[in-house]
Amino acid sequence: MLHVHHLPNQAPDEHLVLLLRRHPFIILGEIVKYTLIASLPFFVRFVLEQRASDFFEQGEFVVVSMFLFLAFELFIWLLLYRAFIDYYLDVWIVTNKRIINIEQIDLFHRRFSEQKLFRVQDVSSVQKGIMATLFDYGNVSVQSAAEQARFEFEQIPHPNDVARRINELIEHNKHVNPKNHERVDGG
Amino acid sequence: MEIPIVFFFVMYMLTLGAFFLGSAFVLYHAIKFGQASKLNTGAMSVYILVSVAMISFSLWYASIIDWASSIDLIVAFELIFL
Repeated sequence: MLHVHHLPNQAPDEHLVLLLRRHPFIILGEIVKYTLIASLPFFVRFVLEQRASDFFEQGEFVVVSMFLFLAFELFIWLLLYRAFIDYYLDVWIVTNKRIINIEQIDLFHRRFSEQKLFRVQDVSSVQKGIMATLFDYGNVSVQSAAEQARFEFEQIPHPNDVARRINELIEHNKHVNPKNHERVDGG
Repeated sequence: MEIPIVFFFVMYMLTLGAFFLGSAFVLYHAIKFGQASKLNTGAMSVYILVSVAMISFSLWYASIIDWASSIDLIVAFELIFL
């Protein structure tokens, strides 16, 4: 298991500043979606009772529909838990030295990447849409040196505060390790 | 066209096998990559408990069925769609 107090390849003077996940509204949306899908068989049963009430008088049909129902609900339950794992295992960690991006893209596709703070050149936040504005979540983009990939913190709560905090850490890092920044800036 | 209803039970058991396999993969990820937090362990416990309850119910339900009977698919189709 991942322990936030034991970061991967942790430097002696490194400590955790932010541990970020997607906004809880995102997983709530998944729960609502799967609850609606799980309730579909009840709707089908209601329609069948209206259209073909004889269907439920045949014992064998009830047995078969019951097993179909149970199989369907089991898979919806599995998909809901999988959505939770997908939500839970997407983590962005900000320490006083680096940014770590851990993404569970699919069940067998996991990405781990990190970026030293002194390499970061630009941090920006985006809140797009009604829900994102209402619930205060959005994306934070971390742009490093041109040849490096861009980090994207997706649908995290309080993106503006997070972007400001990362900028503060970068500024603090500049004072602590000016040589690193001079090297990146070409100074 | 009559199909013995035990055929549907066999299909259900195969589905159950796929469910166990999927659950094993998801739980493996939760244990290996997740944190030892209340949220993770709580969600895992709820998932296992609800799954066990649903499977227990299905097996209890299967135990009270007369598996010797069969289902006429044409009658079922006529009842639903005609």
